[in-house]
Amino acid sequence: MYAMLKLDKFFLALLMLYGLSSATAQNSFSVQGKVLDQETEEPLIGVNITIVGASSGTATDFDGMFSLENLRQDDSLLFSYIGYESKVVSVNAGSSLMDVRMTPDSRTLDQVVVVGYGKQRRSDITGAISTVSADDIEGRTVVRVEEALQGLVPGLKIARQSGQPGAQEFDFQIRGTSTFSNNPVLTIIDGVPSNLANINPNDIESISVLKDAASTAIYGSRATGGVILVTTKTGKVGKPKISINSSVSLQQPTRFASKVSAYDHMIAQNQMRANDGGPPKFSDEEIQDALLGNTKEWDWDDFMFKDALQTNQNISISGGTESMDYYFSLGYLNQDGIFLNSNFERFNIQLNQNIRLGDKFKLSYRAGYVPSIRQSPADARFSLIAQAASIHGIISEDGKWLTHPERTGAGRNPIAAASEDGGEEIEKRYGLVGNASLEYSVLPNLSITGSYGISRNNSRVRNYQRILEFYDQFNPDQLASRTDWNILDINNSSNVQQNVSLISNYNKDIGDHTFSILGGVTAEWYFQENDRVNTRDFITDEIFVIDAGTNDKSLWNISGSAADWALTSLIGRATYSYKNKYLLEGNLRYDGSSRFSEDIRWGLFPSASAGWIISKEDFLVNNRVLTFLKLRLSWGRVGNQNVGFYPFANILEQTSSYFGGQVYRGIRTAGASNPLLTWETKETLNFGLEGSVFSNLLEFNLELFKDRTSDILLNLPLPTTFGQASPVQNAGVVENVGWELELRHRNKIGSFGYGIGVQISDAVNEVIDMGGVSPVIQGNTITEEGHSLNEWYGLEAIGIFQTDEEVANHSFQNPATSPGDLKYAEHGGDPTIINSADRVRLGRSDARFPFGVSVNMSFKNFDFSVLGQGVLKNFIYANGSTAYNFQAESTTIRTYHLDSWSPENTDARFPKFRNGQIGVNTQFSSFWLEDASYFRLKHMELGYQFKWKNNDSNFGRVSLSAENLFVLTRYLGFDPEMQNAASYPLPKLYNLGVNLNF
Amino acid sequence: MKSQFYFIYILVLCVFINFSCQDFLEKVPLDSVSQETYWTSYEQAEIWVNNLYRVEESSTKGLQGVHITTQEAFSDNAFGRATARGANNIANGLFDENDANVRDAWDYTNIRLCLEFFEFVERVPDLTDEQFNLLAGQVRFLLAHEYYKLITRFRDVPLVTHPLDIDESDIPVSSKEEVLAYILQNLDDAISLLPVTWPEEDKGRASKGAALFLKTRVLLYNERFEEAAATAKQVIDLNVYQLQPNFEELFLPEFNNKKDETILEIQYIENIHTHFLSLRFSPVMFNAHAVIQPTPQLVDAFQMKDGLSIEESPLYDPKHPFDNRDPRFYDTFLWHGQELNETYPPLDLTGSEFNFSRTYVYFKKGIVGFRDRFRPMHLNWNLFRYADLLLMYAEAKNEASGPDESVYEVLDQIRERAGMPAVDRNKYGDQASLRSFIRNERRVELAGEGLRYNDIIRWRIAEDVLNIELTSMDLMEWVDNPVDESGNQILTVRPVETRQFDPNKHYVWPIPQFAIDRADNLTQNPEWQ
Repeated sequence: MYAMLKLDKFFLALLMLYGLSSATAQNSFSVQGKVLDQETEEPLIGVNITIVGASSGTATDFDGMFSLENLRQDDSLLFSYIGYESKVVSVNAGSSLMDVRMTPDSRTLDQVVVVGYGKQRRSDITGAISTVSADDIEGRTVVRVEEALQGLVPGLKIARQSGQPGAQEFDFQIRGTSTFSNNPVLTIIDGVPSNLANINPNDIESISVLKDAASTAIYGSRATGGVILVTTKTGKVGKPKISINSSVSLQQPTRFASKVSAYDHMIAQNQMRANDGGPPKFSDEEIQDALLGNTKEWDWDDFMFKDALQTNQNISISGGTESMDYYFSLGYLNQDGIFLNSNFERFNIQLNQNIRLGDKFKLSYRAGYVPSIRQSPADARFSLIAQAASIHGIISEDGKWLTHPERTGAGRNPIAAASEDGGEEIEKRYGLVGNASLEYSVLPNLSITGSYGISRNNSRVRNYQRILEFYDQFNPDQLASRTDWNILDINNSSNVQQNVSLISNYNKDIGDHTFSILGGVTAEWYFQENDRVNTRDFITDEIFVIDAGTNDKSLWNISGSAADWALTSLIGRATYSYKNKYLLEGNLRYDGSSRFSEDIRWGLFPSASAGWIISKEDFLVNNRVLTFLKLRLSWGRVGNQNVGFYPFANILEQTSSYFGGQVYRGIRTAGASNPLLTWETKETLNFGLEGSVFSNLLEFNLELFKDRTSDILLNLPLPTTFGQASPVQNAGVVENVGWELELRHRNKIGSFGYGIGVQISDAVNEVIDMGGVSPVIQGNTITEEGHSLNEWYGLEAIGIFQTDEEVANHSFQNPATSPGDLKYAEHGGDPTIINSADRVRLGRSDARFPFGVSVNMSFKNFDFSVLGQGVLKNFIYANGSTAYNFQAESTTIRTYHLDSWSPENTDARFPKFRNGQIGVNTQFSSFWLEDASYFRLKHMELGYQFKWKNNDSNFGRVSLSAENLFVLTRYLGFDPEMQNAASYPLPKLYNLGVNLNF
Repeated sequence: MKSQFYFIYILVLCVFINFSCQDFLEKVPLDSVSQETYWTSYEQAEIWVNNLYRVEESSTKGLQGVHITTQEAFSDNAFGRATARGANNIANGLFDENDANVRDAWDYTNIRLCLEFFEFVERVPDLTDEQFNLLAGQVRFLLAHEYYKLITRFRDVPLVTHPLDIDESDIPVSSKEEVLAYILQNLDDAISLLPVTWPEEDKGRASKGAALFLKTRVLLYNERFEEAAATAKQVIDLNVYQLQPNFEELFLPEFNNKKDETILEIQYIENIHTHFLSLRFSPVMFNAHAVIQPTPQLVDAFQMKDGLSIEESPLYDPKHPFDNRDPRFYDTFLWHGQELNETYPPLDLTGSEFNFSRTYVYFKKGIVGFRDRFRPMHLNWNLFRYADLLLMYAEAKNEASGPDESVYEVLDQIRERAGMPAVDRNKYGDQASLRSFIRNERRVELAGEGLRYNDIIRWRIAEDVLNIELTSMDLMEWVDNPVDESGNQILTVRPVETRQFDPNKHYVWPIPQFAIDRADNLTQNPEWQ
């Protein structure tokens, strides 16, 4: 306690440094005053008031009144109260009577949090739930909500895998990996399970990230990956409010290591040839020409990328009366791609309405409709563009696509293939998410709600590849080769998920005891289908329908598939709190799933949790340092029904056989079925400690968890003589332990307000049981009992051979190994040979310590915010043309590869130049595990707020902002966030935004 | 108030019962049939059998098709340039129990599908004996073919004769003799059940001749020469097969299913079911991969057109090494300056191709119909052809009872078709000299067809022919060897690789490690322990 008080003083002293108060000995005086809520003008009871720089203070009484004596001129008073922003007010002898108005804090502990099938007050929550509010998203010119979430939520790891407009891919995971199989995060928009692509970030009111099993158990058999609940905005009582949000952004490629010049390329390739024991590839004359700049060079990156514009327009109208409220919004996004031939257009319509029908009934609906059109290259091969050398031709002056003789197949000219001359892919997507509900208030504290929800996605992808002609770059009149067909591929797919539910809510307060009970039934069903046709040989390149293609049916390809599942459940929740201090909660879900055999399809998923708000205990209630402190403990069990659609059925699959020049039908078993298969089960223990000190100046939240997933689906290897793929069985056990820490500091000093938030987390998994198949070595990773999943596994590189003698004295590696090549450590097996027996564990393959840092400041009408995000530890396997100093004979290198070993450069970053296909240095080893930890400045924004007409409802804001401004990393490849070295890079955006409200 | 609680309770119950009663949770696969409801007609049983003929690109499963050509690089006939499958690891002795080729060769999935046929076919109502025999004969043949592949590589293998349950599937190996007996028993069944010929629309199905052919091969490979010769004679006596008059036509897609020489053709169809033999054999400058390249040893095995070897013949001139060779030479190989077909310019090894060309010679056999990388090939693969049968007859007969006129007569048929002189009865008058003649003739006639490795293993000559420093062809004296600006020959002799063969180990393949790991009763072959 003593230490804390000292801290207290230290902190207040810090405040003084901000120059607000310099106490000088003067005559003392006293003040009296009243503290009121800014909005309701109601008096606030128990507000802490301290004199900045002194240890004395007081609190407001039942009427919100306070008095303080012995004040000196220019003393400052710090007012702090749970749920309100702290306020510093300077006093002077003249102001003996003062009214202080405090603003409710949007992040207050008493905010309402959306939880599974309901809402709770923040302070009543006993599980591990993180929330993100509209404030955190507004101002971000993000297209997808996943982008906005990146770096905000501890324990939520998001990596963007592709920046392609309309086809962005995100890997997201809550609390790390806890199973061998797939357990995606369950994403729910307004109560309807749906893809997050179906939401305009502008329409989001709040996002809840449910992390522990106590919070997710009410989602039962779909909850092992965690749950994200997205809630859209609703109208508030009042006259119509119109809000316009508009932004224009310039997009640029984030970063791109440049390729070497023609001269460097030629020198290095000749060196490569010499190192591999071959003749030089380029003559002295050619090299001389290149040196003098006479060699024609093409900048492939320049052809691939362009600056692109993105515009985003949103308008919303909201309002309401006592009997009805509404929120209506329209959005339009047009995102041009930084890569050639790509574009994305998206429309959003959202209409939410609550209508009170008399005293007893409330009818509500929320519906969002999202049509979009994506255009992208018919054939985009980043890796082939990434490997092309500057001496490889792209296009002639008269517009003919060129090819270099050493480039073959799809590599002949990947820019041409990706360009509009190569065709295009158009995806038309229609997403619909909506629900309708009727709430019946049976009694003031008892209600029943029946609802129906639907999420529907239709997509039609049309891919058309044109015939391309390639001309010899050294003889542009000579047609070198052409692609053979124009090909049309149409892929129609749709899925629909629907649910109905009937849920009753009962609340009761009896003195200090507060109860609530929720009970209900739900049913959910899903259906997907897909039809695909593909034909070729079109007469012209202008008609994109099947009929315009060939009559030769042997060139047609058709396919189709369909699948469904259904789930019915009973759900329940009970909460109890005593004096709002001791909290208990239990959740239950009883799920029946169509994915399992009849006898074993029902599963019970319970959870229990408790909370203790220690700061409400008498011994802390008036503590000025520790404003709030809460302890949480939870346990729960959830399941993963992601086992395929019909794992119990002994399915036959069709094949084709051929006799007499004709196609015959064949059939065979598709794989072994397992009628005994059931869900994976995950149990989680969670401990949470949250609180705030110095009157909310510093908030913290710490979560510790341990989960154990059992019955994990595994393909147990059967004797090969069984003669069939082994059925999946419930066999594996994995434990996952982790923590999350979040710290926030916010303060306002006069008209200067600022906030700093930091969050970081980590999770470590351990394989407990693999049902007898341990270890499984898959590619370059190993999974073994007693270790983490998918650890890197390969040869350990221990430097570069410097002399022939060193090569001779070391174990035999490869007949070609010589000075300048990688040296691998001997770890086992035959001590004279480096082979697969020498492979060792090379560390974990998953990213560790994802973190986020945010800073925001406001001064008068200006505001400024910064968000950074990254991972502290990550080793990824760098491979392909951006990693190897020559992936193959016909590829080039990047400038960083010039630091390759040679007798003159023995202390080099890379081994000597070699053709990577020979595999002397390019086989997987620790050398290619590159440090891909990074920090990315995700978002930076400067805004200015203004008003007109002197009317509080007429205000606006202009802002300048940037997304993905820079990244700090030691990783050399394209992007440390992307596991795949060559895919559509993230754009960097510079935005101008305008927001007007009427 | 109480009544309101009842209201909720009943509502809840209603919804719940509603869903339970409507079999809401009873879902069956929407896009596939299941085993339980199959097997109701002859047609369905036939569809099951059709699948057993399925061949895949890049798979050694089943009857293999053109994929068998990769096995050429296991042998002294070819070099496998860097490939993902590491075909070269066999020839250079670097393979082990984890090698991809070894793993792929160990496969019981088709065996199970064959055996399941016999288990399930009984369910089919009203199946006539005739219908059953047609199907059963094919399945017996295919089952025998699977075990033939296994014992040829691994010697002793587990013998599965009915679909195993999971808990009875861990079984030890049976001796090669036992498995061989099972193969022969299945083949004898097949021989008695199968028709001599199939109608046009069923070309590609196993016939009596195919079963006899396989029986001949299995007997020959296991040195049961007398029986092998007698079985081969049965094929000859069927009088339905004869050599294609023109050797080149065997490898042109225009002659798919139109050859009297083929006993079993693996079927391909233009645009529908195609293969990439062209990518394997053809030069990189034709947009292919040149993955499998003939060795100088194979080139040298081809006689001069006078019937003498290059060492013996006065026609051989190192300045013109490609002239006056066995006419099959020109249908088998491609070298610098030669044209593959009218689509492509002559092969030029002086440009970037130089880097990919390791031996300076390419296979032409089978890819003459190759036009473009994006138009894959549909040449039927001649899995069993009559020339092979005649050579097997000659070999078996010679081994069983020494040279006789019937041996010379079948060899002459092959020589005559090739445009080569008849066998010199004096020069090859004894069993040993005729043996070496037959072996060389077999190598030349079947070059590139993926059978050489089996031969060098069973003849136990692999230790002689695979323990070498493989180099490119020596073309230093060739008058057409291209020269660079300073007048130096470009196609110098280059090392290709060091090949090793350990006779104490490599005559049998190791059982793949993954198979041993999954079974308690399986132990590694002693040579590999």
